[in-house]
Amino acid sequence: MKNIYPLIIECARVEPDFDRIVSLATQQIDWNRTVKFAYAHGIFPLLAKNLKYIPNVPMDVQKIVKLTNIDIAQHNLQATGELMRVISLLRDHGIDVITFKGPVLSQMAYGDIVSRQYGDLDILVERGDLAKVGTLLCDAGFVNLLPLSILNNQTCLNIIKDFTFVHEKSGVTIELHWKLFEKKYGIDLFNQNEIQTIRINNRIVRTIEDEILLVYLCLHGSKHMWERLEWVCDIDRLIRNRTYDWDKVISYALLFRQVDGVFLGFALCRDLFNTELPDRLQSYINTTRINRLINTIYFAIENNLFEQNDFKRNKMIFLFQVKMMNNVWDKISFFSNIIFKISPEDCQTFHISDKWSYLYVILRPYRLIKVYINKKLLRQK
Amino acid sequence: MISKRYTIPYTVMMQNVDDETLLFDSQNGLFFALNESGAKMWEVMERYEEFSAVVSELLELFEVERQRLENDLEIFAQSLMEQGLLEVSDA
Repeated sequence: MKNIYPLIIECARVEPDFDRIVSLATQQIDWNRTVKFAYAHGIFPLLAKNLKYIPNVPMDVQKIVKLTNIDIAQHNLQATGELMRVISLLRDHGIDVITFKGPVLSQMAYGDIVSRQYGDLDILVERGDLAKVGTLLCDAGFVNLLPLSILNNQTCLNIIKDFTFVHEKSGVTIELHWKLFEKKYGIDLFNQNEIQTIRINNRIVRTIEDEILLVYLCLHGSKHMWERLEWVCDIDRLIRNRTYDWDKVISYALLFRQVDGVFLGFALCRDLFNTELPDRLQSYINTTRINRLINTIYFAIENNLFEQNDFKRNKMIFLFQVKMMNNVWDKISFFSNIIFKISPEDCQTFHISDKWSYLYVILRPYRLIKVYINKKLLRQK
Repeated sequence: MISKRYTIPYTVMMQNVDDETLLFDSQNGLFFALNESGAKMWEVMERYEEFSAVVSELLELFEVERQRLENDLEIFAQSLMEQGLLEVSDA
């Protein structure tokens, strides 16, 4: 990884070495590929910030970089404006919203809302408010991608974690969450003592506590095999700019039984951006398993494996997830979850009370057979 | 002495991108770009709402006569107000 696109890694550092950037930019660089790579990895604004000071970058590249960067900034401002509108709307109806990732993460990690690329806006509300939030968002011009009735279906709410809305005019996407993790683990995300506030421009928004966010982001990155460098960069910046209770971070990693998933994120930060980490994390990071996982990620990036077709890419990420499992039981639990996992479609097809939800496992094959037959019939027609 | 107070509506956001300063009004979805002087004025207006405080701070930044600066600030504030990017009230 350090041998490819070193220019991008250098630009993504908190304190980039400009002499090194100039020297790298003088070498034979495929600018088209570099620009695409930076965009795909979500660190375009960081590339743009540094590239404008480098004299030997071709004019046409400078122009594209500048225009794309302004485009990203405009999108981010528009998305943040939409987020503020939604927060106000829900607050006016007595619903407290917690927001995370997107503009809030950008502000926390980079100190502004334009230095990071983001698409979706993530909001978290109490489960009891979901149906009301769904109706309010639809009245405000958002379109739901799945039936709104899901927000009233307790079994569905147990098996999925978010629900997507897209604004019909602006195209801004909102991911409505009511939990962050599959299980509750005894953590109350809505506990007033754990919620913190962040100032974005002249507005105050509520967000989750630092330690939970850090662990969540590490697990999110590991789940997706860290296919975007932006995720590593976010964690590096958060560690540098925020104060952490590291014992709490370790306790969450142990509680979620996802030690490697969490510490892999810190190990990547240290490896790519020289992030300083407390000594007590070393024993979790300096392991053969973590090293092996890092090498797998670098191999995938160096060989452009994330750019393969969806099937191959998803298969690679799936195998990576299996590789992250610490023991046989975790693997059995992982596979059984996949085999027996109830889908929202199951809940929509068979209306069973939450008490009898295990019956879905028996009914699911019937639904799948029905879907298969219908598809076959359609093809024959 | 002019006694005015500037308030930036909560729907208006400002960000520096490259060498440009962008203003975005989320109420109507419109973007505006400020030049260097405008950006400095805006930043000061964000920090100090009172006209006199804004002028004092700007005099530290620009080498210009007070009268000229007050006139320029008034013109700038007026154009922002016309676009709905600033609210001006009596202090």
